[in-house]
Order: sequence, then C-alpha cells, then structure tokens
Amino acid sequence: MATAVVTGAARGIGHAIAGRLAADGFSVVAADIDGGLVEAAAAGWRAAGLSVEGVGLDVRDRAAVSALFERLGRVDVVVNNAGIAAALVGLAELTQEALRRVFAVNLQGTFIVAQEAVRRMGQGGRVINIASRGYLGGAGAAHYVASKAAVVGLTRAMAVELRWQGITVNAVAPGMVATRMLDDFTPAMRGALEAREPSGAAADPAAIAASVSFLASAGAGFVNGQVLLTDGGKCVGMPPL
Amino acid sequence: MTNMVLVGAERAFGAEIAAALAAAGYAAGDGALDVLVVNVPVVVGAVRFADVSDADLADTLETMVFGVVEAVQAALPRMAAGGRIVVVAARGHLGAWGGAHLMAGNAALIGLMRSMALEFSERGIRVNALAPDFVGQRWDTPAARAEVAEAVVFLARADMHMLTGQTLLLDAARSMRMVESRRQ
Repeated sequence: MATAVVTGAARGIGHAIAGRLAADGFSVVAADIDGGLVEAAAAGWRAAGLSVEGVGLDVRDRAAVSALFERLGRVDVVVNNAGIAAALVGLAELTQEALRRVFAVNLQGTFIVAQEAVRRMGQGGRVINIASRGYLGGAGAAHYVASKAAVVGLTRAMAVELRWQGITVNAVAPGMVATRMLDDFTPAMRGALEAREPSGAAADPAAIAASVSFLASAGAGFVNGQVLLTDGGKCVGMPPL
Repeated sequence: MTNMVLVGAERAFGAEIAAALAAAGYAAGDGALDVLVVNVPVVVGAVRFADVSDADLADTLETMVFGVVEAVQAALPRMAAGGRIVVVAARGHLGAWGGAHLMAGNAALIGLMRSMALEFSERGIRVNALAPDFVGQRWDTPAARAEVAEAVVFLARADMHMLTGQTLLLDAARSMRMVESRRQ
C-alpha cells in the first residue's frame, strides 16, 4: 500500500485531502500541529475502514519532521498543506513579526517537510504543495501573497531538479474555500467576497482534495512543475507570475 | 534633479545602476522621493535541493523578502503620487537549477512586487521588477550589465503611467529556450 503524508490535516483543506487520499487507497499519515485533534480524526477514518495514522507535528520543527520521516522511511506522496493565513494589512503597517511568521509556516515549513521526504524517496515520488490563487497578487496581503508565490517558485525549482529522479513536484492553488481561514473576515466582508466567486460561494474543501487526488494518481506522473489553479475560474484573465 | 534611493548598490549591477541613474539625472537628496531601486540580484550556487540548509533559505529570505519590505517601508513616507519602485532580481521565479532557496526567494519577491503594485496603484505609485539572467554566467559582461542598468532607468521613467506590476525579463530569451532542461 502506497504511503501519503499530509500536513495540516486536522481541519479544512488538509482534512479533506487526508480523507480523500485514504479513500483512494493510500495509507495516510495525517500530521497536524494539533496532535489531539488529528488523532481523533484519524480514529474516525479507521473506524470507517481506512488506513490513517494521526501524528502531532509542527512543520517548523526540523528535528521533529526529520524524526517522523526517519520512522516512516520511504513515502510515495507528500502533501504540504500546513499553512496560515494572515490578517489583511497594508504594506506600510506590516510588521516584520507578521511577515516572518507567515513565511516560517507557509514556505520554510513546506521546504523542511519536502526536503526530509525527498531525501528518502530515491527514484519516484510525488510532492504536492498547496499554494493559493493569491500567489498571483493581492492588495493588503503582500506577506501572504509573497509566501505563496515562494511556494510556487520552490515547486518549479524542485521540479527542474527532481525530474531526473522521477519525482514530480506540483502545486495546487485554491481560491476561496470554506475553512477557518475565513473567520478572519467579518460576515459582511465574507459575504461580499463570496458574491465575487464564480460559484457565488466559498468552495467545499473536497474540491481542492480532488485536484490533489488527481496529482497523486498513477495517471498523473507526466504532470510536473505545474500550478493547478482550482478556483472555479475566477483568476482566468490574470497574467501568470 | 530627481530624488532617488538605491538599496543594494554594493551588490552585482549596483555600480552600473548607480551610474545609469546619475546619467539620467537622478541623485540622492532630501525631500520627496521619486524613485526607489532595490537591487537584489541572484547569484546561483551549485546547491542541490537535498543540500540546501535552513540557514541558506533564511539568509535568502532576509535579503530578498524581509529586507525589501524594510526598504520599501522606509521609502514610502517620502513617496507621493508619481513615485516609482523598481526591484532587480532574476529569472529564478520561473524555476531554475542551482539553489531552490534562491528561486523561492526570487518568486516571493515577484509576488511581493505584484501585491505592492495593486495596493499602491490607489496612491499613484508604480512598482515593477527587472528579471535578468543570473549573475556570473557567461552572458554577464560589462556591456550586458550596462543594459541591465538601462532597463532599470526605463522602468523608473516618470512618463510610463500604465506600466506597473510587471516583470521585465532581460535574459536574451534564455528562459524561453528551456535551458534548464538539460541533466545537471
């Protein structure tokens, strides 16, 4: 049974991805900074007959990530989903603390997990990084945008190098998804944002999990270095980065 | 006289950019700031992804992201409508071999630039990026460096009111030739 590691799997998009990959037949290691919550979720999946192990993990902690992959050995798929949103703030008011915090999780955490996984992959494997439609640019969110643009840049650079090892590296860029990240918005603002979505509403996390499922599937091995924008088409018309 | 600040004059292209800006009538001075140039070119190191250290990535972000934000924040209070910001990085945002940390930092900077262009458009400040090829490669001659500096002057022009949020690739089509596709 092929193994897939999913970070940030206790809630939201990561939860949907872990459940989807388990249903696809992977033995899933669901990691999250909230160990108790992800272990409870894993117990639920196991009760449904799926193979899921829940583990507490802070992706910023190099030693902890290294220890996890040392224990797991070779994994087939790693999904870098753990990420944080950032409150909307103009660049003039942006603090270095907020800037560094969003990079520590979204980029540096992704880098650490991807590197520890790839070091043990040998030939073949899939790395799937969850970016955001926002990587294309957004006013008032420069720090979040830059961190997600960096995830896409890392994805492309990894793909350039790792293709010789048969490892594909792709990104999925969701648009607005119904997760806790939307709690940062007031109900009025959230309603206004949802009205601008092609579907008129924030997407179900399952829609993002479907894109990840495709990139992890046997037939997608020739797709490499790509950003699979999964946003209902809202970003069509924007120039690519 | 047109007021400018050049951050990163000590890095590659810095001397040529300073000379080209001076020749175009720009000088560092007090009062309202017309142009900010942040020069953070990319020098590729032959580092495999598996060998990139946490410190390598942290150092890159310090220069290419956190430092750039600091430079822009320092300049903003002096900049009125009509101001221009130019960042000089490389074509690494498209993906290239030789240090995934540098390419991620480069991509972060382009994302930052596009966000600043959107945000600052309301106050009439334009933000663009120049993406030459990597420093120290075969193309990197005195004449080519002068061209990089001239492109900075172009992006800093006062009369290009619709030019913002753009990444100008200045790499003799190398990024179009899939030069990264050979086995490293």
